[in-house]
Amino acid sequence: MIYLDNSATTYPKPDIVYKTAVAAMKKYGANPSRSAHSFALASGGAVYGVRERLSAFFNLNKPENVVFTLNTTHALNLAIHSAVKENSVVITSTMEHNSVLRPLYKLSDEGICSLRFFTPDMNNVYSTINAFKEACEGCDVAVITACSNVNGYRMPIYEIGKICREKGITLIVDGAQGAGYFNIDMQKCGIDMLCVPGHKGLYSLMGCGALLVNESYEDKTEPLITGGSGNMSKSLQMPPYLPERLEAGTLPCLPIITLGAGIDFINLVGLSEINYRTYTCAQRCRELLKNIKGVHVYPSFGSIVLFNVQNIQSDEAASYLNDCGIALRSGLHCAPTAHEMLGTPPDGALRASFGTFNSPRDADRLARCIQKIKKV
Amino acid sequence: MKLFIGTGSATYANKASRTLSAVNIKNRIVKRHDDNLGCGYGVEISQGDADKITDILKNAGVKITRVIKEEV
Repeated sequence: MIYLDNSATTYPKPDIVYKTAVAAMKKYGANPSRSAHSFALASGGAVYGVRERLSAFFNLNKPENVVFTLNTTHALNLAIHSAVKENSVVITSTMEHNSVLRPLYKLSDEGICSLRFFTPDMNNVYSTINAFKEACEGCDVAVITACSNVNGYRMPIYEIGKICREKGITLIVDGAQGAGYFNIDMQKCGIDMLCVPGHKGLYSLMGCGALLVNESYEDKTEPLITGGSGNMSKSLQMPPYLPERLEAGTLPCLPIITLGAGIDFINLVGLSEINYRTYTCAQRCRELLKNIKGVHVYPSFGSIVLFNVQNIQSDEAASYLNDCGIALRSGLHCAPTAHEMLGTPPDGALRASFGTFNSPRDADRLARCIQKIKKV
Repeated sequence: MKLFIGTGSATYANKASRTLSAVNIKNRIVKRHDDNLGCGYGVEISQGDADKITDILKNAGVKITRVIKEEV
């Protein structure tokens, strides 16, 4: 099977992640942050080590401000509920995932905040920056994806961060598709809160994500759920400081430890190499598909290729490709406004998302299968 | 003299432990009940200057909840 669904979750994982997972099940079976016997301290130390690595990787430089979550959606909900207050004006883009849109619409529907959208210009980064600059006037919070999950478009977060700093806007970045694919520097980009998954570009097992909170925002975060934290147990409120303030209940220790191994892998291979590998495959795929009559390739970037085959619904095409031994994702990819903006049909499109373990031959195979679909 | 430095959370205990280890101060993470706060963590150091050690930890950004000096 050729796996081209890396935007949903990366697969396979690097060998070091599998080895770490097996070792961690045996070595780190005790609950971190609850007891003080040697097993618990070993788990706690391993978890803290991952906080350190995440903090360094995104240039947060404060391991204790790395809050572990179940996934990016959980991290985004925490960030949004912390930042959006009564009468807040929130700006976001038309390229966002439902993990951003749904929490924002819920707050808007409840009359807590009002929403404002800007549309990026895929062909001109300056137009995108200007569109944001004009639309963000009077806004309190910006929630922006670093990279679209639909077509791989990279938002100019450095420039957006600069504008947010100038205007005093809290910046929340959805790093679901960017983390592990290109450098996200929280200080340079002026990001207040960065939400990342473990299991995508950072190669952990599914079950953990993280919210990275810049020092500028550490006292303003609010828990979504409350409960045991293993410390300050006499208090009937959550502890006053991070990360325990936002980490009620037992942590997903095993996925977290594999996340550390994933970061080690990225540091070893290098972000530029990963970017080169995934881009090379996707670019070859784009070129091959564009030359097939009846295949429409939408503007897509980086590791992602978004396309449709004329007169065949995307779900049907994906099912056929599955029978050909190719795994990719069809539909709206939980991002309806992005699809609307790109002009895909109501049933969406096919998304091939390449990972670091794909080869250009996988793009060739996909193109051959698409040729066959057309003949059926 | 044995020194206990309370950090409140296990996360800060880990940070404290690694900060001290980096400057070759032997320590270990322990859990110790705090009458005011309940369950708490910290680091135990068998010997050293309490003021100097707390300064190192404060400079590293460790939140300190209490310092207990015990004669051995």
